[in-house]
Amino acid sequence: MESTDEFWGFLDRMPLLLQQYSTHSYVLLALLGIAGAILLAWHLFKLKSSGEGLSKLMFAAGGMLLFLSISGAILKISSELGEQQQGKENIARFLEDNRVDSDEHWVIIVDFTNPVASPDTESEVNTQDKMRLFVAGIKEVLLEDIPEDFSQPRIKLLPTKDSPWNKGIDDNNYDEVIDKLNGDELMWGVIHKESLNGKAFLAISAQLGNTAGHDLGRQAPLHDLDLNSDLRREFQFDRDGYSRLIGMVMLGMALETVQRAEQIQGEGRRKEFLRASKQLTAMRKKVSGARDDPILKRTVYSSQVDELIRKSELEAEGRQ
Amino acid sequence: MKRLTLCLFVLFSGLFILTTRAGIQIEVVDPLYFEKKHEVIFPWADAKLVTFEFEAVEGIEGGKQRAKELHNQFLQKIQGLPGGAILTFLTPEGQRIENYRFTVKQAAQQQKAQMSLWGRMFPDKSGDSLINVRLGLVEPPNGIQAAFESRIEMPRGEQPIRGFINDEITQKRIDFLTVKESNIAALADFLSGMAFYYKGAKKENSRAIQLLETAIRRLNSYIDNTLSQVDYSAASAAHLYIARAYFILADLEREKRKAHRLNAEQYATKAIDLNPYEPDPYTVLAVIRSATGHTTQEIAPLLKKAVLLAPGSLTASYNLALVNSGTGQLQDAIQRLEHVDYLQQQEQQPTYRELDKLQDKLRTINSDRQTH
Repeated sequence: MESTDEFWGFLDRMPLLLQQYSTHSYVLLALLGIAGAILLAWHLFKLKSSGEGLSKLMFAAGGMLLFLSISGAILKISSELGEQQQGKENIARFLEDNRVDSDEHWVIIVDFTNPVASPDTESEVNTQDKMRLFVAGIKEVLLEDIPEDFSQPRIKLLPTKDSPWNKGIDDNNYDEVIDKLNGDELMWGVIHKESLNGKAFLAISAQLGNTAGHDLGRQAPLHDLDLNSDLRREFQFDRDGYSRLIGMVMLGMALETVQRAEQIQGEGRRKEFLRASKQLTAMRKKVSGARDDPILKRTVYSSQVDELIRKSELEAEGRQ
Repeated sequence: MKRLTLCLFVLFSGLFILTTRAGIQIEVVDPLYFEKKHEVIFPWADAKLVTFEFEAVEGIEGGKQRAKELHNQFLQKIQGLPGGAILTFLTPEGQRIENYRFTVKQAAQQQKAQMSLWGRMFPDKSGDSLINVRLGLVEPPNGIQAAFESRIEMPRGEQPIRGFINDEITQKRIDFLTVKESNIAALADFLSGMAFYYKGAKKENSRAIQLLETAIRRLNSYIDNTLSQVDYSAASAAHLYIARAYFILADLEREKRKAHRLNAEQYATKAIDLNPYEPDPYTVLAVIRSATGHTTQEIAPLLKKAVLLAPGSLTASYNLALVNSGTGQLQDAIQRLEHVDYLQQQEQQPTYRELDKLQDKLRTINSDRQTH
């Protein structure tokens, strides 16, 4: 009776044991499994050679080790597959939730404060508020100062939770982010958690950049950021940062118009090229005060854009 | 007796308007104020500036105060300018104007103002206030023009081509660089210079010489301020309006014509140097050079540059077509005029009155050439 109770008690503990084993590394599971297999093999060998195997306890220990390590490995694999699947679903949901429509010009701003899912300290909440204010400041600058020849760009703050790029954005993956989210331009940055100082970058998608040729500069460092200060001031006052921000966004929008015009055959083509040439010239006029900036020389004032203006104007005049 | 009293009243009212400074600060308490229709204040004014309290961001409370200061300085500087006026909209402490940017435009149009001004204030890292000002030309002032004439050799003799190279003002907004609030006086110089130019550039104005001279003085005063050393766009605009003012003065003061035109050319050239991406300075320089007897070959590249920088401008394309016809490029001129036609339809702009005349003339000349 007592042994039956012990047996049921053991069975009750089995799931816990399996759970515990599934948390071990594959190497440990393999070692334990090998140990179990050796015990069983030794038992069989002794049984065959001398007619007497190992003790019941050793036999049971060998069997249990083998069983638990195999089951643990199976559980571990299935749990990992489940996690992978869940991860894929989360990423798919993230991309679905954050993908922008292609009818408008989207500037996606990656949340570079790298916030936790549910901020629990006052400073984390504060930092996130500052990031939101930063995005609002950028939006205000763009809506206020982009000339009327352009439609208004859309701005989106991209969260980092569940993001496939939660380890950060850099030169190697910014194109992938723009591409997967269907955006036109991407802003990302790095900030120091304590001081909230950092740097921000803006890049135009490869798809838009190619409109003007492969050599067109597509990336611009914007400005040294200080999330503690009013960012509208930062972008208004620092001429280079402001001009790069507004110049790059206008360039992206103008390239998009050129691309759209190139796809049109017939009546609307000339009209769209007229729009493109107006945008390209308005863009240069707007940031002409910073025309000697090396970044703008490679982008807004580049020879590729010269060529694009010439082509757009010829098309707009019906001469091509 | 009654008639005499009435006449005297009208006369004194007129003199009062001409000699006093016209300015009003309107405190807007009703949040729906700008959604309602209002009477036009100073309806006689034709160099009217509508300004708004400056939006102030965190840490700065002086937006209303700075707007009042600018109001007073502008008012002082337009003393003696007939038709000059300023309206400043302010809200009481703790209140602000909603939909700021949209409201500015709407209110300026409703008040039939020629200029509107708005802006923001920011604290810099040391806590000092910075000011960021935008000037909109709701109704741009008159530009300048020069008569153009050329002769085309034809089998039946020379055919004259006549017209005007027009300077249409396409720069309808000037974004000043953010500056320390202490630079408000320099901004007031620029704004009052513009107001004097608005009035002086009107052909019918009998006091044009005096007004344009004041405009030149005020705009030069802005240029002399260190502010213009860094703000290329606004400095270019200041140079350009001075060039226009000198050009008009050259017509008004025949004895000083040569000196005025020389000044006009120098200022227009400097305006191009400061902002080579703005089309208007190229047109202005072309107008000045056309009036000073430069050849069409010298003028055409300037007008071509203006077209490249303002591809949607009817006037720029028309100017180039006119001058190109004078250099014998008839086909190019005809094509360009067709483009002006196209722009007129696309941009839904009013008919360009010189277009049909020149188009007919060039087509006739072209067909005559082909026949012979």
